[in-house]
This record gives sequence, structure tokens and C-alpha cells, in this order.
Amino acid sequence: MTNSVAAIFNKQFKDIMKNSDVLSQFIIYPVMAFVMTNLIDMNMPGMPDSYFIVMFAGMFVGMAFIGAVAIAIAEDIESNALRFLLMAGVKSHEYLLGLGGVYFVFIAIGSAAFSAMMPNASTTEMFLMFLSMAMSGIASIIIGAIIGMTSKNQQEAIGRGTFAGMIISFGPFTATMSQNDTLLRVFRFFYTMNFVDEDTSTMEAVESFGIIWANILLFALIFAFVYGKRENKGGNTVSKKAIMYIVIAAVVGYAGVTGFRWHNAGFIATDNAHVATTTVPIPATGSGVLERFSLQEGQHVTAGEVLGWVEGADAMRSPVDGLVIQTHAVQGQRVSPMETVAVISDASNVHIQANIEEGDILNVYVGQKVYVRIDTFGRHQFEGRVAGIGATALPPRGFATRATLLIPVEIHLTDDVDLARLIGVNASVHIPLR
Amino acid sequence: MINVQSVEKSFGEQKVLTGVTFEVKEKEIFGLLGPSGSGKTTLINILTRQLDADGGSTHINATPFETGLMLDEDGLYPRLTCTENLDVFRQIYNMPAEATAKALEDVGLAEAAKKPVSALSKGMRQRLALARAILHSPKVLFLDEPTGALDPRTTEGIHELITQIRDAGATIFLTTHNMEEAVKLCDRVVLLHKGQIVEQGEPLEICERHKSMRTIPDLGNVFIKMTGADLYD
Ligand SMILES: Nc1ncnc2c1ncn2[C@@H]1O[C@H](COP(=O)(O)OP(=O)(O)OP(=O)(O)O)[C@@H](O)[C@H]1O
Ligand SMILES: [Mg+2]
Repeated sequence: MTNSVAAIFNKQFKDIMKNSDVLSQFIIYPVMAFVMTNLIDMNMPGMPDSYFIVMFAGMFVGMAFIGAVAIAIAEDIESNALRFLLMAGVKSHEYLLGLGGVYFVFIAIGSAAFSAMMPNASTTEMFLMFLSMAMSGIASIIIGAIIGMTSKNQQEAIGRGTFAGMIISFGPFTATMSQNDTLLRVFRFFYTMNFVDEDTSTMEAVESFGIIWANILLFALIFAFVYGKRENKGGNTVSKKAIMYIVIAAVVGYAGVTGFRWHNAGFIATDNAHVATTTVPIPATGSGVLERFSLQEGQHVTAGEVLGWVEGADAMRSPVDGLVIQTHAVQGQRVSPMETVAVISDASNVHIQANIEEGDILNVYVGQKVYVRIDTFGRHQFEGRVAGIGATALPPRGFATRATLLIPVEIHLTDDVDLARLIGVNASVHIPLR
Repeated sequence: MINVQSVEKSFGEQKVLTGVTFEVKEKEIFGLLGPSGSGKTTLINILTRQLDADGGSTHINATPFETGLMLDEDGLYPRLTCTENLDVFRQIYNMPAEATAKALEDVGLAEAAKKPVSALSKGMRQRLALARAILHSPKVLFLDEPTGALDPRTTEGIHELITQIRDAGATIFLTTHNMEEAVKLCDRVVLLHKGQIVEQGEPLEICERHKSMRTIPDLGNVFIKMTGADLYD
């Protein structure tokens, strides 16, 4: 058993290393991703840094490997090489295991390269991307095997392999590019659209792995069917039980993911949101000339820090840690009591303010999980929770009498990120409803 | 060693084998002689379990591991070298590294060991296919037209090799449509015509029985006598 698998593995590895057509395909996609990401400065607004990496990763796993596996198997069948292996006592599954194993090694190497290219990813994120790509590779190998086993000859395998690769890699790519709703809805369920990258939230990652897993099971089921048919011709039978288990696992997997999607179907999203905080006006403590008052906008102050004096009165102190966001007076100026001389932002209360339409507000509750993107960080998604819902609607803009009103919702990020200097920066918010 | 009883095979409407019955004894070179299309390859495929017969039975006294096979479609890996091709099977059979070199030497391919198969001549490919068939010193060797594409000198060498393998204790079942080869090489033959056995026995004995000796034993003449057809039509 191990001999046969190892022999097939060695043979296929040597064969690939001597086949520049195949080898160049395995190399070109990672290289293209690297060039597009690092050497060409795209700098398009809204385009995530990992855009080309994810795109070429899809082509690598889909295009390159479905075709390569399909052609390799079809070649062995057409040239009669497989017959000699079977005659030598190699079992079909040993052949497929040895052959698939080589391609899996190439997929794993490529996946590691793609993951390492991710510009802002943590080690964990890189590992998750690697895992999602490598797992997806299994689905591609199985699809390639199905095509290889059912093709009459190499020519047919090339045609079918290319066609399947196109749909599986370009479908998701087109959906993402066009942002077409229908396409997105369909291709969401393709494993090539479910690579975990640095912008994927934990929840999305769980769903992605579920979809990849369901893909593997589905194609394994089709494979078992095709394989069983082939084997039956030769007299052996593939265990009916094994097929049944795969059917059950696939159905459960798909049902699970679909159920999850249903459950998770609705969401509220808005890009009427920004980084906000409470501000504290600093009043003059008396009537007279401002002394030793040298605040600069943007200056950091701590709670209790003396900000200046009014001649003959108490010191003016900051009640909070924060940044000076406005100064309204200069040293030597005459001020009257309670006149605002500066405004301080409260660094301890920096949050996201999302303005939610009145029709949606009843679905929002305190403690609800929220995903937030902040323009400064591109497509990176932060997680947060609803901390408070405004009691009154914001005044309508313009003169419309029955305009849809917006209610401010305060969101606290649970991710650790310093937003103190980003007050006012725009953000967008996604609240899943469950 | 090999027992074939009333084997029947049809492809759709076409009857390819009819009531084929014979026995191959241990350690003999057994020849299946018949013109193109008479059903030789079909019978080898049935014997090696690559094809199911419609009726009758076959029995071979050897496991798949003790069986060697050479077909007219050689199934070699074109991008791999001779050595690499044999190494695949050497590893499957779990044999030491020397086995490959020895098999290549036996078929006279030692010098081409490092050449990729795509760079070999047809005769060299055929010899490599033979090397693969004998790599694991099988008990039973099936050879479908082993000298089909070879020049007379190489054919001579292959004949010697086949005889040696037989002398070392293996049983050889080969097909040919070359009656000289059958007379020279085979201990016993069956003559197959349109899927039916028309004569069987030792080549010389058959020729004597049909008074077809002339200067050399002439199986071709026997074939014409039995069927009215020429071996080379
Ligand atoms: N898979 C198949 N499907 C249909 N017909 C077939 C198939 N294989 C063989 N035949 C037919 O069976 C007959 C016998 O073929 P076979 O290959 O056994 O002949 P052969 O004696 O080996 O001939 P040759 O000397 O040319 O190799 C031929 O008429 C052939 O067309
Ligand atoms: Mg033939």
C-alpha cells in the first residue's frame, strides 16, 4: 500500500518537474500576485491591499490545479499507463492518493507563498489563509480527478478542465469586480470565493471554512459516484456504505451552511458613520486677563492638568484625558466668566457614531455585535458592540418635511485600536441581525 | 498453469471469441498464432482480468504480483527516463535499486538508461516495455506481439531472452502473427481464426500431421489448409 502510493507520488513529482507547461502555471500565479501587489503601485481608492493576492490565489487553486490533475489522469488512462499500474496490483484509490498527494504538496507550497504575501496580516491570519487555500485545493484536486476519470482522452480533459477552471476561478472574480448581487449570491458558495484573508472577520471565517468543507464533501460525493461506476466496470465495487456516509456528510454540511446563511440573512448597513467622542468645553474661571495659557490644537492633556489661569481666579483644569480640539482664546486676552476658552475631546470615550434610519432602529439593541470599517484602515474590519442608542432623532437636513430621520447609535470597538487622533474620520457599519 | 475453458466474447453484435479452450503447462513458451483481428489481444485482456468474458472460465495459477504483462500499447511515461519508468514499478514491487539496471541490461537498453522515453525508437520502447514486464521475475509472462516492431537482430536477442526466462522457470504466453517466430520459439501453439481455435499442439508435430514440412516446417501453409485464409491477409 505505502509502496504503491509512494511510487505513484515519486513518478508524478518527477513528471511535473519535467513538464514545463504545468510547472510554469504553478509558478506564474504567485509571481503575478507578488508583482501586482508589491512592484506596481495601484493606489486605487477602496481597493484592499490584498486584492491581487486573493484574486490570483483563486486562479492558482482553481485554474492551475483542476486542469493539471484532469490532464495527468486522462494522460495515464489514454496512454494505458494506468492499466499497467492496476495490473501490478496498485489499487485505484492508491493511484489517486499518490497522484493527488503531489498536487496537494504544490498547492500547499503555493498557499504558503500567497499567505506570506499578505501585507498587513498577523501570523494567525496568514495561517488561516493558508489553511483555507490548502483545503480548497483538495476540492480542486477532486474536481480534476472527476474530469480526468470521465474524459475519453487528454484533449477532452483539457477542454473540460479549462472550462471548469474558468467558472470556478473567474466566477467569483467577476462577481467581486461587478458587485452584481445575483452573481455574488451564487458564487458565495464557491470555495474559491471563501479564502480567508486579513480583512475577514471571525464570523466570516467560520462561514468560509464551512463552505469550503461543504464544497469538498459535495465534490467527493460526485467523485465517489463516478469512481464507483468505473470500478464496477472492472468488477470491483466501491462500498455503498462509504457513498452513503459521504452523502449524509455533504447534505449535513450544506444544510448547516445554508441554515447559517438563512439565520444570518438580514443585516443593517450604513456608511453614514464616523469616529466620534464627547467633547468638554473649558470655561474661564473668572473675569480678567488669561495668563500662562499656551494650548495648541492637537495637544494631549491629562485629567487634572492645569491649562492656564485667569488673573486673580482659580486655575483652569482639564476634567478628562484627551486632545485639545479647539482653542478660542490666546494668552493676554481678557475673558469673562464661563466664556469657553478651549474644547477638549474625551479620549476615554472615543467611539463610532452610526446614524441609523428610523425604520431600522428597532432591530438595534445594546450589546449587539457590529462590524466596522474605518476609512483610514481601508477594508480592514473591526469588531464592536452597540453601547447606546440615541433617544431622539437627528434634525433633518435641508427642508424636507417628511424626510427619513436618523438616530445616532454609539458603537464601542472591542478590537484594540487607538482612534483618538481620528475624530471625525468616516466609517461604515455592518450590523448582522440574528 | 493457465486453463481456458469455452471462453466466449462478443463486442455488441460481433462475436470475437467462440468456445476457446486450451491449457498452458508450466515452464513452456505458449504461442497464440493468428492473423490481425482474430481475437489475440482480446484473449490476453480476458486472461489478465482487464476484460470480462461473456461465458466460459479462465484460471491462472499466479497472483497479479507474479504476473508480467506487455501490450502493444506500451503505457510508458514519455517524459520520464528509462530508469525512472522502471523505478515506478520497482518501488511498487518493493525491490532493490539494482533490479532496474539489471532489467535494462537484459533487454540491451543499459546505454539508453538516462534517455527520456520520448527520445526512444519504437523498437527501444518495445524493449523497455519488455523490461518492465520481467522486472519482478514473474511466474507467468503475457506478451502481446513482443517482437512486432523490431528488426531481425533485435528480434533474435528478444527470442534468446524469452528462452532464458522460460529456462529460469517462468511460463510464457505470447501472441504473434509471425509463423516463423511461432515455430522457432514456441513449445506449443494454438492457431486462432476468427475467434475459434482451428489447431493446437507442438509446432513441428502440427506441421508433420499436415504434411507441411517441405524444407522448413511451414505453419503458414497449415493455416491456409485449415482456413483457406493467409496469415498475412
Ligand atoms: N473494445 C472493443 N470494442 C469493439 N470491438 C473490439 C474491441 N476490442 C477488439 N474489438 C474487435 O475484436 C476483434 C479482435 O480484436 P483483437 O484486438 O483481439 O485482435 P488481434 O488478434 O489482437 O489483432 P492484431 O493482431 O491486429 O493485434 C477485432 O475485430 C476488433 O475490431
Ligand atoms: Mg492485438
